[in-house]
Amino acid sequence: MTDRRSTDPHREIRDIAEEEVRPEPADAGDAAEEAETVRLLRGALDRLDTLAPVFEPELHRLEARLEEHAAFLRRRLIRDLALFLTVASIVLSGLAAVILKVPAVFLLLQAAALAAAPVFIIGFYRKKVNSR
Amino acid sequence: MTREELYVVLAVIPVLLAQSLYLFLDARKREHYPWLWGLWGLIQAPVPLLVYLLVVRKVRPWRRKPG
Repeated sequence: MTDRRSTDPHREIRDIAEEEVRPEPADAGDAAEEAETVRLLRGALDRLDTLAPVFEPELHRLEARLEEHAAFLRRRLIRDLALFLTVASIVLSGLAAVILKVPAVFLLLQAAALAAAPVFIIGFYRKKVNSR
Repeated sequence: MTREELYVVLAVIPVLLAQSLYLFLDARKREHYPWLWGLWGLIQAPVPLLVYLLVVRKVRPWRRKPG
């Protein structure tokens, strides 16, 4: 038995054709005719193989695309990091100013950030349960 | 502003920045609200990091490994 999971579709067709025209014991007299049919079919499929253009991906082109994608990801990371560090510097300067000038607001902010913890945990677990 | 306050602020800022950077980059890698975690990590420590480890990284130190 041939492997039907073969990647070559022509080979699969050939195997199926061969199986279908395989002589039954009762039809042994027609074996020669069926063998000729199979031979003709194989010849036709081989000709088809030579006619159909085979797409072979070029390695250097694939590598170039991979490099291009890696460069794109690196650029995006640098852009995101730069944006985050800019926002972080603004937030941290504001935080330092609040600590030094209005400690009450800072304590309120800390309490709010602490209260956000259970909200996040419950929110994420609820989302996870809903997505199941 | 006293000298002690200045020391506290100067000590806290790198901790918050390191925490938020870790949260932002890791959450970005996992596509799990990087800006939310990064900004929360800027405000406070270490609660955001602990919650992140529990909720996103699913670290369960109290669970024994099978086998």
